[in-house]
Amino acid sequence: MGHIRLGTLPRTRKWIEVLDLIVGSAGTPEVAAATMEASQGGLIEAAKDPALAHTVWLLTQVPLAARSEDFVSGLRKLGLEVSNSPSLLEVVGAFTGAVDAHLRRSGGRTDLGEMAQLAAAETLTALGRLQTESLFGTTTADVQRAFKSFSTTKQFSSLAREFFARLTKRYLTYFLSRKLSNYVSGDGHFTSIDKHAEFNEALDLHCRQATRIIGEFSGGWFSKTNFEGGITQDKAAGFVHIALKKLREEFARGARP
Amino acid sequence: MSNERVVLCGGLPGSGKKTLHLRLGRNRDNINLRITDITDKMAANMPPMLVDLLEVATYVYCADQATTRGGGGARNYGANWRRHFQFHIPVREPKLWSSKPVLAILRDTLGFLSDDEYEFTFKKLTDPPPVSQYLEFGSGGATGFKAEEVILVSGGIDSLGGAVQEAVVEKRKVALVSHRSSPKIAKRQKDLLEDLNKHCATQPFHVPVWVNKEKALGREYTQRTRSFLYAALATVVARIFDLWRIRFYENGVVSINLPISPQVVGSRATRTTHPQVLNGFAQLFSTLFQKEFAVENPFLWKTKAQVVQSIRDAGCGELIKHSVSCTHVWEMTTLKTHCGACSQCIDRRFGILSAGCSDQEDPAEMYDVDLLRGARQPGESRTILESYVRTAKRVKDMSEAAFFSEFGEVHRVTQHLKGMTVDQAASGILDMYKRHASQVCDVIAKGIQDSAKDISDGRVPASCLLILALPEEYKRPTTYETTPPSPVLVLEEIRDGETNQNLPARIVGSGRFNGVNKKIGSRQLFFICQLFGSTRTHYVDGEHMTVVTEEEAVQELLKWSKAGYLQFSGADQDKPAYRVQKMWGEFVRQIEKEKKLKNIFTDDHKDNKGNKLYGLRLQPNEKQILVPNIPALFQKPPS
Repeated sequence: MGHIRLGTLPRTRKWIEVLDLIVGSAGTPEVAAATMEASQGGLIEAAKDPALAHTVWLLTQVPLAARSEDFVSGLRKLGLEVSNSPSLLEVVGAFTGAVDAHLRRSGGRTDLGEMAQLAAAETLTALGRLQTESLFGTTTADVQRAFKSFSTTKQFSSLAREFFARLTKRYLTYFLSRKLSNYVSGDGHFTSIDKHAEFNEALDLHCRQATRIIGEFSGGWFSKTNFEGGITQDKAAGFVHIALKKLREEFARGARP
Repeated sequence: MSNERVVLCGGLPGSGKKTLHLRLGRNRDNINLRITDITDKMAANMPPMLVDLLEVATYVYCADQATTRGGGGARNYGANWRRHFQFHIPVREPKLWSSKPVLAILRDTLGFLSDDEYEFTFKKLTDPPPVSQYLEFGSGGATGFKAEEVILVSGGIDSLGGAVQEAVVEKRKVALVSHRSSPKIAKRQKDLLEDLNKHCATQPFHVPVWVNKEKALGREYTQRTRSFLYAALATVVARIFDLWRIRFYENGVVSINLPISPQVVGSRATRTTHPQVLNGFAQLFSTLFQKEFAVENPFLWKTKAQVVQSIRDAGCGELIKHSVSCTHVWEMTTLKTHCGACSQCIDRRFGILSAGCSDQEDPAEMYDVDLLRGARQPGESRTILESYVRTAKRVKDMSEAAFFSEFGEVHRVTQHLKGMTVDQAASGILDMYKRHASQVCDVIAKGIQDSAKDISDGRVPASCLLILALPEEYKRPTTYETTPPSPVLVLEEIRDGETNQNLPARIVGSGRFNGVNKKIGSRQLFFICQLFGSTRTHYVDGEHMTVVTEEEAVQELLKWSKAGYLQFSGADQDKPAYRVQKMWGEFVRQIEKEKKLKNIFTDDHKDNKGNKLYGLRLQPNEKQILVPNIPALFQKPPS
């Protein structure tokens, strides 16, 4: 019971370059850019992932459901199985359950889809918590108010940026974590576990900086698309495609000295 | 999905590249199921659907092992990890098994359990073999035994704890169902349960089960579906005793099994006894029986250390050493029963040490690698341990908001705990994980304390946990010869906007820095912290420097900004490097007003990758200006 399966990195030239950069004490932007480049074309293929697209679509719909008078019914229409008076954590759990249920029906689960699903749940928790000022014991009215605020152009930008920052961090560490622990040793590149944790924090900061570009266009896209006939799953997939393309360019730019 | 498999069971005809044939029987077939010590008489009234359940679970378990997940690579985001199974199984009650609710629960529960996709087609089994073909009367058959509880026993610590709780503490009559996956494990289980008997008022009834299969069917070792087989076996036994409940015993941290590393996605962290899975099993069995059937884990809120402690409290500490938690069974020897490297060994040993077990109860020599002092080679051994401890260290100091917004997997648990609201469940999980994290960190702290002399003498390997876990601060060389003064100026005392207040401080590095009195503000403090805290050096044209790269300064600036020590203004947030450059100019102008500090700070250099460096020039006899902690740099002059 409790087994954990670990993975490896491919032994390709690009991955060897990534590892050389880490050992050579390169800056976080260089490591991030090289990882992005080495990992299957850096998120480009990811835009086709159905679970990622569905997750982003659902992220756009929850704030819109919060605009309606009957928030709970709105959530249920989206597939979120909630009680009559859900708290913040209940809605986040139901969001996760809704994505799971969709994938059970449609198939096509991938690691990337998992990362997106987790990043979305984490985003709703983190930003929802900021709005409700509490994590436990929130009322449905608190939750509705919090999620409704994400339906403005400005606040949806923040939501989208937070989501893509978390997704990108997960994406990069999905690969890097296969090797980084090997460099932790009293006489290694990371001389302590804390040093490894510092590297991860730096990577997190870099991802947040790099996703600024997402914040710049996502709010406008959300308002415009919603106004012009609503946000469909296809339109959400198109948004994901553009967002990932911009992100990839941003990472490449950030690596330049 | 590329990893598809058509599984034809029970002799159903068909062929194809992706087809797998499984046939369950006694001698001539490729899977052999033996349930020991259940007599014909006990199983006389076993409903056909129960025998179906046994066979379905066995087929799922064997197909799982016969179909590879494609190794540990990251190709196509784990496309090979997830498989698509199309099962065709002849059963005695095809109508029941083909009903929509049963098909949906099977698909959903197994899909979550193993991260695979499932389709089932059930056909009428013609000429069904009698259930007796799976039964084997052994030496311990207990005619007339009436079990009050059926529990699963793997032979590890948690299930031992469950058996102790039920049979020793509560003195209940229990049936212990165990799966004997290998002869090595079988012997250990047998010995353990014989020793357990000595502590019980009523001897438990033991039902060992063997599932053997052709060698060619053993291609995948991860066995994520095994708990379905275990649950099915226990359910059959429970029904034989006319019970409507079975119990797994597993500590909550392993049961929920939040990932310890970002690469551990989906069921790469097992969901064997995940609350969602146990609920799924209960739902399946209840639907099949048309009556509520419960599948429980009474240890869900306990950590491993608490489970170990409960065994000791029951006076059964001596049994612990006979339990086996290690998954690397093939490495097991008589002396070294645990590899000490796999996640189960690490979890076990932390629990053991946290509970304060003696060496007689769990001898250190049983482990091939010592948890605290053993060298960890690069690879799985170091990755698992480092990730496990890093996660625990992080969780220990995490806010509740950080916990629930960093472990997204937890939201797959909170809705599946019966009798609790989601918020109550979440709060309980947080408490348990915090408790576990503290237990792990305390074990390390005690290990450092106990090994202080060996660490001081350099007699422990550089890759052992005691060294890996030492905070970074203590690994930096220092120019201090004596203990640095107590910090009297802390970062919290300086906030942005107070720059002009000029808090007096004394830079107490060493040598020429010692005793430099300087009124500083947040910008000076920022660069002093950066340079005096850096371990990076740069040597060019006879000049020796302690340096930080501009990127490092930028990252730190963002952290300071986040913490409120410095605030960005205008467009600076988007150009933090530009802000650092501006601050540096002001810093140098301010700091050089102090005579002793003139011309020692520089930004004239770049490293070999072209990164701009901010540096502190050192004298020939100074290799590096390093101090054990930042606050120790500052000391307010006496008023």
